[in-house]
Amino acid sequence: MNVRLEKSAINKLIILIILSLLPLYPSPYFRRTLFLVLYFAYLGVAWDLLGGYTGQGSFVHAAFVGLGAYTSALLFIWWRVTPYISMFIGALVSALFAGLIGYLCFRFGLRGHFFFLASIAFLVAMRYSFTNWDLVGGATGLIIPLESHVPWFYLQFESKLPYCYLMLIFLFAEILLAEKIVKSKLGYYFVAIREDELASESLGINTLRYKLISFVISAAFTSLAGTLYAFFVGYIAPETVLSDILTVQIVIVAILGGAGTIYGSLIGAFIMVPLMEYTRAFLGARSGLDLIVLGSLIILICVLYPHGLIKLIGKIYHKLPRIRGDH
Amino acid sequence: METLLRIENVSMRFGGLQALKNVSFTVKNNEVIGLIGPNGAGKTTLLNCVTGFYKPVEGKVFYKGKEITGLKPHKICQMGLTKTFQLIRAFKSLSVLDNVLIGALLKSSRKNEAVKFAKEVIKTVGLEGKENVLAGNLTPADQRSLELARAIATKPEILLLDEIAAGLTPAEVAELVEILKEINKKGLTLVIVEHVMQAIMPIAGRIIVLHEGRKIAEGPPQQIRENEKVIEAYFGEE
Ligand SMILES: Nc1ncnc2c1ncn2[C@@H]1O[C@H](COP(=O)(O)OP(=O)(O)OP(=O)(O)O)[C@@H](O)[C@H]1O
Ligand SMILES: [Mg+2]
Repeated sequence: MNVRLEKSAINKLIILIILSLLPLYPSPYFRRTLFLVLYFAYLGVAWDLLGGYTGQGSFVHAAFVGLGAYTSALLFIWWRVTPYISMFIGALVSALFAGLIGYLCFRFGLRGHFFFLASIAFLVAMRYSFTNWDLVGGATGLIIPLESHVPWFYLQFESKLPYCYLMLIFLFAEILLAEKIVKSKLGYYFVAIREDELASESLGINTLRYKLISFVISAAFTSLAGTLYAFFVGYIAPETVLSDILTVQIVIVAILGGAGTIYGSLIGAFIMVPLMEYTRAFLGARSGLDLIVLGSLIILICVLYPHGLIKLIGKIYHKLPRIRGDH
Repeated sequence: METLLRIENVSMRFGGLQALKNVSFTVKNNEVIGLIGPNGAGKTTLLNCVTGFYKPVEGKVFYKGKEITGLKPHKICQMGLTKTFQLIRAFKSLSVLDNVLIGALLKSSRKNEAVKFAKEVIKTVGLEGKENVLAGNLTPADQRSLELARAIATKPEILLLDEIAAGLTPAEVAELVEILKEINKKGLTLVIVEHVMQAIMPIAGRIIVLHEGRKIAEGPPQQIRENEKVIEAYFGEE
């Protein structure tokens, strides 16, 4: 057991070292892409807790990115609240929103594909209300003004380097927390619900309550990344942080690498983000061709590796910590 | 002996179908009750009404004097009453140990403790050595034992078993009966639904017979075997 624990700790350390060396490559474009990789890996892990572990695939997740981004951007614009604090306010807002829509869906027995469909409606509704709401910038969105006085205190850096490290810290903290959750009673109950809700109920598991807990945790994690993203790009709009495509990308990252595996999202993000960037560069974002190429690739991978790419790297996979038979 | 479970005039309908009609009986502490009846008699429906999976349209269910009619299954399980499923519902992509552990986590607050208890229960049902096998890879007989183990792991006071002997060989049935006797001796009250009378006779202290949603007989096994209504229910239509 100890040997196993050490091994997984060493693996983690290796991954961490590699990831912390990458941002040193001095190219703004490379760093931007790397930030997006880490950002999507982070979002994938958060989604995976609900979609992969608890088995409640959600399409609403971009809404939590948006809530995090908008809450922090607005609090900064209005009262110069530092994002280091406002990100937690955003997370709270997202958690409350998740609790509300989760209750509405789960209370009335929406699960599986039906929950997925209902959650699309919530995202679309939110996107359109933000588009038509002048207070939050409407369709044009919000520009985060540059702060000349101690910019780092407001999460503003000239170089992309600090953003990469910040995202990396968040990603690693999230992975450690997610692993803790997955190995605890909470995680076992999540998986039980995914496997069979009726059987779970017969074992004393309040399935409604644990689905809500999973949803709220997942939403709060997601929201934090929304804040980081907003200050990374300096500009947010419904089209970018509340878009259905964003959700699609999050789901792809989680599923491509392997749902219910935590580390799968890291692999998923390393494949999807560069691919997305290159297809967009070569085919143009407006044409939609980039999405067609991406979509085709995903279908191919899903057919060839239905359990996610993480299984490809079998050797590493067996050393990674995970729930099955790992005591 | 203290009354553990009291079922009062429970009726259940599915659309126009009367699945249960005014069924009443009590279960006392540490009893083993056999609940038998031909196909479609309403046995599974009755278990579902008692454990909260269905809400009966009429009647009440009391557990230790408290009314539990209409409570959610998890709530009823937490109080100490649960059931196994006629159609196996093991967590197929999880290991045997994880399956039972999920049950054990209900009453053991610490995971170490729960793991230890889960391993004990696995031994009790005769699955030791298969802790790391995926539930989906077990034989159907072993999957039934697993479901039994998982339910026992929640530390119930009364356990309702829905045809757990179905599809077992006579040797496996005999083994199962021994296991059930064992757990009953440790203080667990059992209500065993069986389609096949032979499987239940050696263990049940009292037998209740359902037929077309009604209780048609109740008594010790010997008496039930000779009961005319029961014989007719089982063989009458042939
Ligand atoms: N969810 C349901 N919806 C509609 N009808 C149902 C439902 N569950 C059971 N029934 C019907 O109620 C009657 C009683 O069924 P039940 O499953 O309780 O019988 P049973 O005694 O368990 O039979 P078996 O020995 O075949 O398991 C049957 O006619 C069945 O078709
Ligand atoms: Mg039945």
